[in-house]
This record gives sequence, structure tokens and C-alpha cells, in this order.
Amino acid sequence: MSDTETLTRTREDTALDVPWNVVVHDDPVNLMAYVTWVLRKIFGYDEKKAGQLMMQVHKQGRSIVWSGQRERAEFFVQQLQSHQLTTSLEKAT
Amino acid sequence: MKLAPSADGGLHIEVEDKSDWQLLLGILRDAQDSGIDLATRVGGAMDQAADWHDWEEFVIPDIRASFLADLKTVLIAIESARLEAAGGAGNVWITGEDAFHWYSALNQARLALEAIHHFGPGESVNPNQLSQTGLAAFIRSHFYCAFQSILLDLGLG
Repeated sequence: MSDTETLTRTREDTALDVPWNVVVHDDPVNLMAYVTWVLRKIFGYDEKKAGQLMMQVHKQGRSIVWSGQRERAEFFVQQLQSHQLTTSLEKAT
Repeated sequence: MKLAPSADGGLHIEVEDKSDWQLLLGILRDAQDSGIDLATRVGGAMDQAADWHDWEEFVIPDIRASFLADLKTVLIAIESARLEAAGGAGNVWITGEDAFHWYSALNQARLALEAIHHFGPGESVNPNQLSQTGLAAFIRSHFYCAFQSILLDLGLG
């Protein structure tokens, strides 16, 4: 198999392998207003939606803040971790 | 030490004496001296993912570098102001552009203190039950938290 064929197959697999969830986990350090600010900054959510997701993190210990294609999900996880939010990636069930 | 908004939308720290400089430098000590890799910690929930090793190899180093860059920005700001003030009364100016670097450094310090002392939510801590070291760390963490709240109120850019 050539390199080109391998690349094509990998992309097909990735495209079919959706959706993936971006999950933010609660921690005792990050301020609620900061979590809301980060969600607005990274996803462009309005104050209300970002606040609802933040409260879900706070009360339930975690929140799925975005779902979609894996490559985008990985990008968002990296962004959230760069803002010091404990974040993981999981395949939607 | 006094913290107040500056005319240009940033924050002005009025440092009154040598102990204030030590308190500011404590942000960096707390963030760095814990021996805890915060970049790995914020990614810790990823460890069940199939690609964790790739994440650890390719992503975590970038996150670690950005955390260090934030600390470096704050260190330069404090040390240059301290030098100018000859270690006495002086001023530190945080521009709106640098506010996030400061917020990040303060957060790194609080994450490190939490990882060591396991304070949990602030309202659940009884200061009377803490050791002397723990109480000092708890007070510093509270100071950092108040500092962060002011930066948030100003907007992080």
C-alpha cells in the first residue's frame, strides 16, 4: 500500500468516527466567572449558555461543552487545557 | 500592598515594602516549587483515551511551554519593578494585554497549592485545623484568588 492510500483511509476513518464530546471537569480552583469567560472565548457562546454549562460543571462535576468531529474536538480540548481547565475527550455513546 | 485599576484599563500594584515583593514573588515560587507538572494535571482526565500517549508527546509540551511563558512574563514584570524600586516601595503596572498572563500565573500557583494541601472548596476549610504551613498556604491561596477576581472584573482581554 502506498503512503497516499494510507492517508486516504485514515481520513475516511476519522470522518466516520463522530461525534466526540469535549468534557470539562470540576475542580476546586478555577473560579466560576473564569470558566464562563473561557467557554465564551473559545466557543463563542453567549453569557447564558456559557453560564449554564459552567453551572453544570460546578454542580454535576462535569459537562459536555461541545460535540462534533474529532479533529475539532481535540483542538478545543487543547485550548481548554491551555486555559488550565481539566478537560477530556470522549466518544459520544 | 494596594491593588487598584489603572487609568489605561489595567491594574496598578502599589508595593509598600520588601515583604510585598516577597509576596508577589511567592506567586512564582508556589507555581513552580511544587514539583507537580500542571500541564499533565489538566490533561489527566485524558488518560483513559486511546491516544493519551500521543497527547502526552505532542500536546502537553506546548501547554507546558505556554504555562512557563506566562510565569516568565510575570517574573520579568516583578523583578524589573523591584529593581527600579531598589527593593523598597514601588509600583507594578499590569496592562490589559498582560492581564491574562498574570491570571494564569496566579491560577498555576493556586492549582499547585491545591495539589499539595487539598483544601477543596474554600467554604469547607477550617483554618483552625490547618498546620502552620498549611495555614500560610491557605492565606496565600486566598490572596491569589482575590487578585484573580480583580483581574476578572477588569476583563482579561
